[in-house]
Amino acid sequence: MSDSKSQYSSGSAGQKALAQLDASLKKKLDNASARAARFHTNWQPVNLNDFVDRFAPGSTAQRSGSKIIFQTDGSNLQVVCDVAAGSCRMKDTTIHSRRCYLDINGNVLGNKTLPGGKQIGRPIEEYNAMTHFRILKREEM
Amino acid sequence: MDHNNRYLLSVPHNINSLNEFPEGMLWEDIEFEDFEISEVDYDNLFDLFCQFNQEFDIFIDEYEEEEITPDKIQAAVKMTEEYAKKAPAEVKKSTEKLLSALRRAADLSKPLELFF
Repeated sequence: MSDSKSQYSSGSAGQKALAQLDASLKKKLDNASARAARFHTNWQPVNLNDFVDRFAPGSTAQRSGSKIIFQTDGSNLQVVCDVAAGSCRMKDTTIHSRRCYLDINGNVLGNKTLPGGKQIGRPIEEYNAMTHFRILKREEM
Repeated sequence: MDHNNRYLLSVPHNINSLNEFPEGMLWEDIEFEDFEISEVDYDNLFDLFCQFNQEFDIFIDEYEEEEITPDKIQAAVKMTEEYAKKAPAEVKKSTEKLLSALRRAADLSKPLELFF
């Protein structure tokens, strides 16, 4: 089993060090930190090792600015981790425009079903809350 | 691995906020008018987006979706025009793309959605 959490932590530390020399990257990390501080209590916790093993098995961490991405070769699913926010999302790369982030079970979340059974569009705040996941710290795993 | 992310500015024609769907309206019923920007445009506009975040209490970022509501569009237009005045030519081109989207949203009294 891969230790994706170690790869994430190592990549994250590297990008944070780089940000001390790169004002633009630092601003991006600060922006993400502010978002996490505001919303992280709404995000479902995930064990990154289990999450990557399920949705991007065998992949290795790739750095991309303020993100670290796991994607199995040939797969349409990306686990996109935020360096500063301590969070991740799952993206379906075959959805090219909007609502391309999936819930914790890999479901598309364009709509929701109301108690009476009718469907309605899912509000953006709810969508965001359901498609961000808080990466568990090592001691929580 | 394809890291290429799309940077889509969208004005929905038939909804006033993605937080308030009228009864019976589904996600796929929304009619969007799109104004795509490039990764270079995004980087050119990043400082301005940070100003939007602070002013409007939102969180525009890569790999995120955000909404500038109709009541904030005029302020966003003014901030973008001010940003353009001090910007070099290349950044000015990026601000023009954003202004096109913001002005369209203002004309229709609709929000601007940012799908990054």
